[in-house]
Amino acid sequence: MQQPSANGIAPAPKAPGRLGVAYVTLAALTGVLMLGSLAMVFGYAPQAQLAAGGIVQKIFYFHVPSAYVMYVGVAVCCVASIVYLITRKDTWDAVALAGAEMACVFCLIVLITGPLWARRAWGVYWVWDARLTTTLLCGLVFIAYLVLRAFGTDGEAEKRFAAALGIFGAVDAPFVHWSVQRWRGQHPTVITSRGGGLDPDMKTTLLVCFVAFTAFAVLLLWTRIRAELDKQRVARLRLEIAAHGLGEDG
Amino acid sequence: MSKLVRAMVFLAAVAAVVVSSDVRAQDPAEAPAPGKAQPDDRHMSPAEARAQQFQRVEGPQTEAIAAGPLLVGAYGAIWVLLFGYLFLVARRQAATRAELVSLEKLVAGKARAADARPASEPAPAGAPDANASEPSSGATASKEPEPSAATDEPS
Repeated sequence: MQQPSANGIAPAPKAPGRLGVAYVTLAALTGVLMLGSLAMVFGYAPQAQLAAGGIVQKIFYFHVPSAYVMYVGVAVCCVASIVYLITRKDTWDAVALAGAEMACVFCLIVLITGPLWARRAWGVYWVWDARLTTTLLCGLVFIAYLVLRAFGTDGEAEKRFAAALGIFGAVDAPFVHWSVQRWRGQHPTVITSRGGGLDPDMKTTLLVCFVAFTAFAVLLLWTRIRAELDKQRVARLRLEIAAHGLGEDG
Repeated sequence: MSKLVRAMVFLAAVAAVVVSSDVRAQDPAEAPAPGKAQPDDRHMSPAEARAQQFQRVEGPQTEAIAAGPLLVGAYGAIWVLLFGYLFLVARRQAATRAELVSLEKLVAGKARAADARPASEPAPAGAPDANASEPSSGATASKEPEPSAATDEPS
């Protein structure tokens, strides 16, 4: 435990200095992987048949890994929310918030890129297909989560309510995943158990994209959790300073 | 009585309809032939085919909807969203870190002032005694300042 200083306030944790070697390495690796995957999508992966969208099918290589990172964000938010409700430790709340933000950003990417691909493959931007609808629902739940966190206070009740909302949002994720198998719609099932029809070169490109997006997801989570923990430290320090009457004029 | 007869006739008619539909369902003339394709075995529609398999094609293809804007729009949106989010997170973290550093300096400055203060000089209001033999616990974040009597009573 940190010893209090002469004025009774625990010394503030040291502000994070330079980025750790691991963090910089991961960031560099992620950059290389993302650029590499982009090069593979446009330089290596073959063009698909017109019925699948022709060259627009290349959206697939970032669309599917984005959906995967969305699942990762949802899972992180759900698990961290459950642990927060059990332990009431702010660290887990920070992890849940990071996961929810990540899920929201990548859900938005999925919901923007999907319709652009669909316009070419299906002739329309949107159909009320089971997978599209459940994905939209998932995105709306996590937008609600972020709105709650943005406009609510940092109180215990808000954190508990947000945790419950995070768990509720995660309940939708399995429906998103299995909707194309359970309720057959227009959405492709190429990489599900019903599919499998993917050219080997396409499969290799998709694999590289998955690796790149996994690294990107870890980097984002790491960055966002650290930022949120810093914010919590500032809030604690401000509270201590206010409690000891050590404001700017104190 | 006539009501009873009408009800019986109605029930008989309903029963006849139900029985006839059952018979039709079991009629071998309407049953699919052994070799005939069942609905599950039918050929895939183009929509199903494109949903379940992506194939390599060679050479140019005739396209009805311009692909360029869709593809550029999709990848543009991806990169704008990803870098926009990264930028926002980095900016938020930089602001938080700057605030953390300034608060840390404030606390350190006050601590130095308290250390340099002579023992006879009274400590500022609200601050615990720096020379106390048993310093309070470091976990003071949850402690609220003791409300003074003046604040408890309305003026």
